[in-house]
Parts: sequence; structure tokens; C-alpha cells
Amino acid sequence: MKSIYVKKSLLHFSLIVGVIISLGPFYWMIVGATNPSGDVLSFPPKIIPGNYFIENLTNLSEAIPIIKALFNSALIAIVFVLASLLVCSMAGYAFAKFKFKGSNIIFSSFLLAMMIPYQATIIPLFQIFGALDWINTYHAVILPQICYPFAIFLIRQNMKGIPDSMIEAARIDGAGEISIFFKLALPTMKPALAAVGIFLFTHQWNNFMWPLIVMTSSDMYTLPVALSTLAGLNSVDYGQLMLGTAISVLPIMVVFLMLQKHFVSGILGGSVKE
Amino acid sequence: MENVSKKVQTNQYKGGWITPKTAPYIFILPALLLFLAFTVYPIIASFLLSFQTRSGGTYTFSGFDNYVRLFTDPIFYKALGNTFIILIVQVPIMLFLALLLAVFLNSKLLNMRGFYRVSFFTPAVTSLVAASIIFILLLNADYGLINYILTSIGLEKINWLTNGFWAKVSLIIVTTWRWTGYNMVILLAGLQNIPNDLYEAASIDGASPIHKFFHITIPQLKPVLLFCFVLSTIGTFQLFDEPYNLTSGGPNNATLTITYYLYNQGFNFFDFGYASAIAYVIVVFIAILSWLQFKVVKDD
Amino acid sequence: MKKMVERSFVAFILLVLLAACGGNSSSDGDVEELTIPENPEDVEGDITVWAWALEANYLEKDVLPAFQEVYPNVDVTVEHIGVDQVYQKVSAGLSSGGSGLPDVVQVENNRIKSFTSEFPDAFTNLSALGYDEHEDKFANAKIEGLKDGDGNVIAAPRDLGPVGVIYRVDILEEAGVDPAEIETWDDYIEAGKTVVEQTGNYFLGTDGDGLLRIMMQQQGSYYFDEEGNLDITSEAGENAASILQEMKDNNLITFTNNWDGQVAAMKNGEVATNPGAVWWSGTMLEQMPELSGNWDMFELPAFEEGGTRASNDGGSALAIPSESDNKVAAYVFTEFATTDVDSQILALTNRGLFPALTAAYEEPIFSEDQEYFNNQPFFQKFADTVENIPPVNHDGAELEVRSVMGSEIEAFLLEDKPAAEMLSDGEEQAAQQTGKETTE
Repeated sequence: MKSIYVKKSLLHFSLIVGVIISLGPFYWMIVGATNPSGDVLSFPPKIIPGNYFIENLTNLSEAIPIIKALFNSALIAIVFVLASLLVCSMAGYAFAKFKFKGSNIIFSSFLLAMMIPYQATIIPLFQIFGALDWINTYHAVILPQICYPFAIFLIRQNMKGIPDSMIEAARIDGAGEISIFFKLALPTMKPALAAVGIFLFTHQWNNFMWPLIVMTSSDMYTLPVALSTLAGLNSVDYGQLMLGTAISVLPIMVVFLMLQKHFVSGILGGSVKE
Repeated sequence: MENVSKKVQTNQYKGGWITPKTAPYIFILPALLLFLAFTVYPIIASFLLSFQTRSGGTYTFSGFDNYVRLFTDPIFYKALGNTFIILIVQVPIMLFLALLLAVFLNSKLLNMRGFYRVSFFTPAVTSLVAASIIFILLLNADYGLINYILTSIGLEKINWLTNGFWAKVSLIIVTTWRWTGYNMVILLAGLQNIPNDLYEAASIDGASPIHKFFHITIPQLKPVLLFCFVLSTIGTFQLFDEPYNLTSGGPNNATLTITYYLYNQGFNFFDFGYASAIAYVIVVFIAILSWLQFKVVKDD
Repeated sequence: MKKMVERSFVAFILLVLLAACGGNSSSDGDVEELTIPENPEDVEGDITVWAWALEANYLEKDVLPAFQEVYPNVDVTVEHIGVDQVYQKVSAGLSSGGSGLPDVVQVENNRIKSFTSEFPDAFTNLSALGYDEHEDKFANAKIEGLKDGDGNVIAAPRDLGPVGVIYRVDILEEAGVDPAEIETWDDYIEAGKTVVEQTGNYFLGTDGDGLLRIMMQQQGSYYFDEEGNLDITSEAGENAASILQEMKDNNLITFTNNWDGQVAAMKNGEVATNPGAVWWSGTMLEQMPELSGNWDMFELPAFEEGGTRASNDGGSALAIPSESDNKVAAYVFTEFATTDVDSQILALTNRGLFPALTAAYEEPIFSEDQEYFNNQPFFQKFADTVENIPPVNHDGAELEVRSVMGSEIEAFLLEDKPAAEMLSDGEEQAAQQTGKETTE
């Protein structure tokens, strides 16, 4: 009994140290967001939140259209996640549950594409959107990565867990392929969709380089792009920057908190037994 | 129930050509079209660009010139070396920590798992623009919190971002901070997939926890570990945000990664031909390393 | 199934064609004839301007109200974008045939050639629109750097960075050093030794290759010769390197890492001087108000007695991308923002941006004593050096070479690489990187 107690405390102790390391910077961000810029740079550094929050918020909303940026980021991320989940789970389903010509080649080229640094393909991509006259539009940010190989891969892993016999039975009952997918396959995928959704949301919420290049007016900026404009050649107002940073981090934490229950089981199809 | 099957029947009637034979193509079509348009086309375009050099505003075909130049470029080798150092030092440390945390979080003794899970995963969902702002201040040599802690326990200040060695260390710390939780979650998912009866059987045989770890957990987790290794290899070769925001690749290129070098050539010096050549060399490296990793695991 | 493959193939080809056509359709504009209407009210339309930090504030808050009184029918949107981001977006835009570019964009002097050498038609020829008439209103060193090979002005000069030695009056006084007696770099080093002995700190700090460039330009030389060949190991380069080596050997110089580090070093009194451009004043006023009265400047020390005591660091210009839909409105805005004297003065007083427009130097602000700067006519002292700034060649490959030399400076200061070796290694590496010849 005693040894279990000791073990338990040791376990908690080491995990708490880990939590401090992993969340410490965020605490410090809150400190910065509630203190004036000068204090952020003082030595010894401030470690207690101050009462400068309102001032920083006022400065921030004067410097960048923070509400609009928040709206743009949210709109883009939500539409992207929904579209991508649909497209990727359809593809993942096809790879997992059908044998068809070309399936291996297509699947491996999806995976191979993950290896190419995106910086190399930005210019041709930009040319496409320029030719279509889609620069500075929401779909310019949403479209390119809807087909997200990592998501297809994860969903395929999960879909493999759906017993073939179930699908066959539905077919014998006369169900069409489309409705088998939507009414049978997809509903069992909820944990997986939650997990993949988190990956997709995170990816799009933090996407920086592409929206920076393709969005040309400040009313279309997403949060990371808007934040980056705060740091110019000259001095930076760290208080307001920290607050902007906090605003960009909070929504994603909320999304993660909401979905995290399904998260772990959804990654590798833990809930579905073959 | 009857209702559903009726609906289904009408569906089938309308789309009579959707059979189990054609269905996979229909399912894959949207992804494939998007892939061709927004991934394959840019890849082909940049691949062609890698055989061209630019002068006076026009690109001309120049065969393997860019690739030849690459192999005589000392900064390319430096960037490649930095990338490999991170691959060899940072990836194992990170995956070890991730595995440790995953095993802890999988322990039956533990409550508050949700809290720990969220805490450790949070850095991975933070944008690097945000994280780097925080770390630049924390690591600042003169007024950063970390040096303050060091000096208050009687140690010397460290030039975290201005010394070549420490800048690499900083980069490794920040990368580990950001990605450990990510890998932990994947490993945790893998741990939960290991059938419990394996452990129970071992317990009956009187195996120690350490024995169980090495003889059940590790072998069972191998495919997932491999998956993490491959992902991290890709991630390391594409490491850009962290050095870009944290150190700008300095001092004296000590934290210049290969993808950062690609970026510089393209976006700073407008040599997209050369930048593309670097991209395809990166792909070759990732492909070889991934293949090796698969090979090692298989042979074992 | 075959059909499916065929269809997707066709769709793919279509896209490729679309993209290719898009690229071609944008290379017109050579023959267009533009005239600027006599009556300001006849200029109409919307234009977008990209600029960063202080210049963006200047254009939006100082220029725009005055501009709109003269040109009421032009609607201007100033987008504040970070400096790196401006270049990323401009390079993406130019690389894909001009999509998504604004009507006016801020470009640094040393960047302009790197754009025009890669994209010869990137920016509108301002001379053709009538900017010729303003040419001699600007400092020679500035305007020369903004012309293309045919002598046409392709970007309108905005601010200038005349260099002097900004110094702490109190520290030098305490050490018994008289700045008026510092005439050469050797004098400067001797003064530095005295000060460092007194304070135990440093005499100056640097965060890159800026000082090396300043010292080379001071001698009328640069990383490139007039033909654009690499000229780093020139006599001027070697002179500068030996001074830098001496500074380092005597522990006068410290590496400050980046902008923030340099600011902190000045604010905390870690350095007593800063051989730097006049635009430092803006940052000093804003970030070090407590040091009011303690700063002043003396002219850059010469390499030999009676030698040039002027140089330049930085400064930017406004350019009109060739793809602009409203060049007339873009031109009048650019012209106004760069030649209106009152606006230039606002830029100086509100933002610390020093005008390249020499007519502005007649304004009272220049001759006025500045309380912050030791009650001296601080700006006049810088203005006096402007005509002596030697024009140099900012080649298209400047950025690559600066990036190489920045690393070399770090190797010199942090890893004890000898300064002379820093030059030769840098030149070799720059040649390798840029494929350029070196001057014999």
C-alpha cells in the first residue's frame, strides 16, 4: 500500500515538473499581456500579472484589426476543417475498404507529397491563384490543403477497423455505396474525426506563410499574419504583442479541451477492434 | 428501419452507376482533383524550375547546374550538417521524453489524465509566431527570465541566442518543447492499443515492470514508434519556423537549417531555381532516411 | 474508370494552361502612355500602399491628410506590413507575373536593385511620368542609387541615413575625452581605450555588417565596384578591417546580436558611442527618454586626416509596381509623399525619418537646438554631411553578400576569426554564392 502511494506521488511529481515546463511559457505570456511593454524588458523580470490589460487591449485593437483577424481565422479554420474532414474521410474510406487499380500509387504519392517542403511550391501555387484571380480571397487559403495527406493516412488507419462483414451486410440489405459511407462508416469514426479535426484545425489556425502571401489587404489577414505586422523594423510593444499572442492561443486551447476526450483513442483507431 | 432502406433504394436507382467497383473512384475523386491542382502541379512546376537558372529576369534551361552548384556550396553543407545534428540529438531526446510521458500517462495509478494530456499537448497547438515571441524574451541574455533564474542560483548568464553552440541548444529546447506532447499523444494512442492480456499474462509469470516495458511495450509499440520517427525526420528536414523566428539562422549560420536555406535562396535572393533544387535534395534525404528506418525495424 | 482518369487529366491540363496564360497576360504595359492631369481634382481612383513601421505611420498619418486636401478624389489605403513580410509578398507577386501587388510599395535603397536585376520590368519608370523635374532636389548619393541602367528613376527617394558617431556626452566627459578632437579612426580608438578603462564597458556595439559597410562607403567603395564585380578585399575593405581588428583587440567593440540588443546596450550605458545613422534618434527619443540631454553626435572619423567624414546607412524609397491599375494616382501620391517639404518635416519630427529632399534642410527644425541632444542643432550636423556622402553601387546581389558578410562579422567577433581573413573568406563565399567575378 505504502509503495503504491510513493509511486503515485513520484509519478505526479515528475508529471507536474513536465507541466510547469510545458505551460510555464504560457503563464509568462499572461504576465506580459497584463504589463506595460517596458516592464516586460525589465530586469529582474516581472513574474506576476499586472493591471495593464485594458491598456494593452486598447493599443492592440488600434494597431491591428484584431476582431476581424479573429473572425477571418475562425471562418477559414472551421470551413477548412469541415471540408477537409469530408474529402479526406472519403479518400481514407476508399483506401481502407476498397481494392482498386491505382490505389497504391495514389496513396503513396499522397504520402510522398508530405516530404516536399512547402516553401518550394509556394510560387507555382501563387501563380495558379493569380491566374484564377483568386488572390486575397478566403478560398485561396482554404482550398490548397483540403486534401491533407496526413489526415487521409490517419482516417485510413481508423477505417481499416470497420469489419468488412458489416459493409457486406449493408450491401445485401440494398444500401447504396454513398449511404453506406455516410450512415455506416462515418458514424463509427467520431473519435477519429475529432482527432484529425484537431490536427487540421491547429494546422490551419497557425498557418502563416501562405495566408501572408495570398492575403493582400489587412481586412483579410488571419491572426498570425496580423500579429506579424506588429513586429516591424523598429521597437516592438511587447505588452500588446503578448496580448495578441494570448488571443491567438486561447481559441485553440478551447477547441482542444472540447475534443480531447476522443483525441487519443481517435488517432490510431483505438476504439475499433478488428 | 424500413424508411431507411427505401431511401437507400431510391438513391441507388438514381445513381445506378455507383457500384462497389466505381465507388472508390468517386470517393477519391475530390481529394485527387484537389491534389492534382494544388499539390502535383506546383510540384511539377518547381521540379522543372530546379533545372533552370535565372538571369536578367528570364529563366533558361541549364540542366543540372543548380544541383552541381549545390554540391560545391559550403553553406549548403553547413545547413545540412545543422539539420543532421538536430536529427541525431533532438529527435531521440524528444521521442524518449514523449515515450516516458506516454507510459506515465498510461499508468493505472494515475488520475487527472485529461489535465496532463491537455497540458503536454498545448505547446503543439500554439502557433510558432506566438511561441517564438515568448521564447525570444525568455532566452534574452540581459533581461530574460531564464538567465535571471541562472544568476539567482549562482550560475553565469548564458548567451542563449548569440553563441553558436547555445543557439543550437536553444533551437533544440524550443523544438522539443513544442513537439514532445504531439508525439506523446500518438504514442499514448499506440499504448492503449496494446492488448491488456499480454501484461496480465506477464504479471502472472512474475515479470517486473521494467521487463514488461522492454519485452511487451517496446515491441508492441514498434510500428507506432517508427511512425513517430518518420514524422520527426520529415519535420526536422522541414524545420523552418523555429529557426526563422528564433535566431534568423544565426549566429554565423549556426542554426541555419536546410529548409531555411531553401527559403533564403527563394524569397530573399529570388533564385527559385536553386531553391527548388534544394527542395528535391531534401526529398531524397527524407525518402532515404524513411526507407532506412523501415528497414531497421523490419530486420529486427 | 478510364474516363475518370481522362477527365481528371483534362482538368489538370486546363489548370496548367490557366496558370501559364495568367503568367503571360501580365507582361504588357510597355507601350502605355500616361499623362498626369493638370488639375489635381481630375486624378481619381483607389490605391493601396504597402509600407512598414515608421514609414507606414508617416504615409498614413502625416502625408495622407495633406495629400487629400490637394487630391480629394484619390482614395488611399495604407497597409501596415512588417518589413520581411513586405519583401516576401513582393517577391511572390513579382515571381508570378505581378499578381496581388499594391499600387505603391516601400523598398529599401539596397533592395531596389535586387528586384530590378531579377525583374527588369518590376517597377514603373518614374522619369517618364515626370519625376525628372525633381531629380536635383535630392541628395546625390540617394537618387543615383535609385536609377536603372538607362538613368531613369525607378523609385522616389524618401528617407536617408546619413551617418555620424552618436555618443554619450556624460560618459565621454567623465573620461576626459573631447569629442571635438576625434578626427580620425585612430583618434577614435585612442579615445575608446580611455573610455573603456574608465567605464569597464564597451565603446561601441554592432549587430551585423553595418559598420563595415559604413566604413567602406565612407571611402567611396563598397562590396561591389561600378561594374558589379565583388570588391570586398579592396584597399578600402582592408582599411576598415584593420580598424575593426584594432577595436576588437582592445576590447572596444561588442556584438549586440540584434536590434533589441543594440537598443538595450545603448539604453543601459554598455556602449558609449554608436557610429550610426541619424534614424537612431527616433528610437532613442522613444525608448530612452531618461537619457535626454546626454546624447550628441560628432562626424564620422576619417581614415586619414582631412579625409571624408560622411557615409550612409539605410533609407528607403517608394516604387510603383508595373502592374498597378492606377499609376496616375499612384504617381501623384508618390510624388507628394516624397517632395512635399512640410510632410518631410513631419516625418522627421514625428518619426525621426531624415528626408533625402535637401530643400527640407532649410527648415527651422534643422537649425533648432534639440534639448534631447545636448541642446545642439543635432539634425543640422547630420544635414551638413549629406553632400559629402559618396554614392556607391548597391548591386542586385547585395542581399546575398550582406548575408555572407553578416555571418563573417559574427565569426570575426564571436569566433575570433582575423578581420583580414573575414574579408577574403567573405569574398570567396560571396563569389561562390552569387557567381560573380571579383575585382582584380
